[in-house]
Amino acid sequence: MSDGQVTDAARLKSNTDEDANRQMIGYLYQHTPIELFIAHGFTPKLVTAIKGVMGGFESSLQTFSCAYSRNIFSQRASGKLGELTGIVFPGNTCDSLQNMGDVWRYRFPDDRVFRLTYPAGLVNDDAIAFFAAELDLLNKELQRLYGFSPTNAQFREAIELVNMWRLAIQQLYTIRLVHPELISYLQLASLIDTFYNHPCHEKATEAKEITHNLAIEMKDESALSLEQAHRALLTGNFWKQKLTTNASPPRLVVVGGMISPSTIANLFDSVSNTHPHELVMDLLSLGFKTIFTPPCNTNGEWSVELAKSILSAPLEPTQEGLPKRIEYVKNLFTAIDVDGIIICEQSFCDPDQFEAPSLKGAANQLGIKALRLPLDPELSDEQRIITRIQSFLETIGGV
Amino acid sequence: MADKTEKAYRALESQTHLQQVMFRYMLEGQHASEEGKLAWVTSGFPVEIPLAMGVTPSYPEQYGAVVGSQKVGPDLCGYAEELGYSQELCSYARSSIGSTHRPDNSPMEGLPTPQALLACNNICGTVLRWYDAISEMTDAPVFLLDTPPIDAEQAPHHIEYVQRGIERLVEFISTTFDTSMELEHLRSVAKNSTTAIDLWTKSLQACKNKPSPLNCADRFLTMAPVVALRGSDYIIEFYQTLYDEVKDRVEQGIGAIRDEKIRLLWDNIPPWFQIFRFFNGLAKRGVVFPADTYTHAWQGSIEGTDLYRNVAELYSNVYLNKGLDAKVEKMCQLIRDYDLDGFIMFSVRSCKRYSLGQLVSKELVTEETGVPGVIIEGDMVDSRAFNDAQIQTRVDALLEMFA
Repeated sequence: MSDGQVTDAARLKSNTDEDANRQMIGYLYQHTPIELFIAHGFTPKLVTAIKGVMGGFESSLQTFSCAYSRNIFSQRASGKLGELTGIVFPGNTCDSLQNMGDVWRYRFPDDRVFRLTYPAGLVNDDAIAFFAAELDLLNKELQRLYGFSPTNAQFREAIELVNMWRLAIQQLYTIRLVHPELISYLQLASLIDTFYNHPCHEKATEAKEITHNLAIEMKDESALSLEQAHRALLTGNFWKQKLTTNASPPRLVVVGGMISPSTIANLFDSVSNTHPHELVMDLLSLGFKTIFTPPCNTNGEWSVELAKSILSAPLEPTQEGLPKRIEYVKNLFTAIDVDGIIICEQSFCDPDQFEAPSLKGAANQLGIKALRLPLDPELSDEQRIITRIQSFLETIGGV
Repeated sequence: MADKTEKAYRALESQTHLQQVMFRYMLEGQHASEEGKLAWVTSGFPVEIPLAMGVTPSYPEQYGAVVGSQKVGPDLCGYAEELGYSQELCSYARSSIGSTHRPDNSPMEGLPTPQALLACNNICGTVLRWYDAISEMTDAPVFLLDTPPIDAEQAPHHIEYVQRGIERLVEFISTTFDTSMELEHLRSVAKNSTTAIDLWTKSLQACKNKPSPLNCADRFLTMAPVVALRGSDYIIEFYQTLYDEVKDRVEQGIGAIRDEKIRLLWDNIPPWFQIFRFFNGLAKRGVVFPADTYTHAWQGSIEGTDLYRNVAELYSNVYLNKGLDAKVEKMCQLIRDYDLDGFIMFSVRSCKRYSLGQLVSKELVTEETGVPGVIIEGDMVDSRAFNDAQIQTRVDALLEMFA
């Protein structure tokens, strides 16, 4: 072990010990600036829907609140949310989460509730300035409540950590798209979920090492083409080039909102024996749409750079820009070999349900078979969903 | 045969005038569309801006109310569902998408074709996605005036952001319609808007009297011009006529219903397909609604030296763009000011922004004012989501508390 490696190992251990003692801040929206919370010494934890939560929302939210919000609220009402020192609600992303934040404050008055409001308009200097100001306000609120002011170096370190992890996962997405045999979607999804639950150097380094090893394994391949594919995915500029050449077995892409990649991975894994397929990519809110957030510049004012980075994430359905998103999806599907698209729609989710017909239309135009799959993020009716997926795979020749 | 004068409610004479005003609105919309000068706008949009720039507005939400009142909501919503839009989505949006898809089967053959779609999300987040869907069907470009919801006080960066949005809106309209903004013209349009809103507000406030000169259905119908034609000069005459009639009723002690016994607050959009049946049915039992949270939403005036800033402040601070505290405060204030005995909250499945939170606000309003309330659930346009018997049972339970 070199001196450098010893130092890295010591640092990792130190971080691990420190991480274990950090207080957790829960967040609901995938584009929450976790860098800010890490810089403040917290562990940001994505709150996701879980199975087996039986009610708890009924006296506070109507049934037409989205399935995700009902599940989260029920978790809190039944004491299943875990120990959180605070929880961050997004503002201006959708009406269910907007109003649930208000209801939460009344029902759980002892909880520390933060609201971070996002611009919904097109990304321009005004939107960036607005969101940077929101980030500054949240930073000041954290400073006031917890008495800690991160230094610029601490902001930079937190940003670098998230940048490193995102870059590694982006590269894994790209590798999987081109060579799905090298890493399973289940493994990829697991790497995403573990970081969302506990972002730390250990997890980021693990992702980076896996990427590095796969890159070595692919040394005979043209590194340039992978790099081009990565850049194309990041920028949405596909230049009408094919990114993949692999056409079997049936290759699927899953599109949708607030369902975790791990949940999707397990679902498809359960049908893989009887219905061979490759889930080569997701375009999920908790997957691709967040992972491909462009890296945050560490040289400028942290709030401005973080605002630019977060607001530039691709395919965000809570923002203005449906035509651009559909164009991206069409260009992507043209550039990769894909036999079927599964569009997940969460019940009573405006962003999902409004976008689904346009996504289906895009698939139809390209001659790609598409399945619209209504579901709850906790998969309360899992068997029905599995049956529908199996039927779909049969129609595209997966049996 | 029952005598017309024996009815439990009194029709407004101003309704004839209202029909003329709305007919003119429809004709103007068709003409503007043919001239390439029509924009669809959301109900909370600062319509004074396009009007001052020579662009005529048309209101899909108001059209949704027409669809509902003509009881064809399930048909039109069904056309949107044929295109893949979920039945769980807003029925204003679905009826609008449905009528755009099949105008031949829609009331008035749908709204006139727009050349632009102007959405302001101060009323809900749905409007952007809805207008995006219409844009796909019509190729009309969308402009979103983003007014993020306000938690407590409007922060300086929030006002700046919305004001910049107003400036970009002017640029967008200038480019799209090859026109320009004259601030003096905006001032004139704003003055019309303020005058009409002042008269409207006076009519609303007259309902503090007992008996109340207007009931819920009266206000929901007569608000149409202040929603759809705010800024036009010819609606001022209508609101003067309405106010004169209201004033006359107050002076003569004439109520909107014949035998006022119970005074209630209404919260949310009404079930348009039952607007007469529901409110007049209750009128027969002596129930009047002197106030509601919906028709009170159109208030305020554009004035001062910095008009764009004033527009930004006014349209950011509308009822639905504020948090639960502000909504509860408003309801309590209406209950106190109008001396109301209770309230009915209509939980509208289509409208999450308006409805989610009602289960909590019901408790808070009762705690604060001491008056009882009930929540009924349904939809404003899609009658498939309206269970009449269940709603009557819940309303009966409330009314028994006043017996």
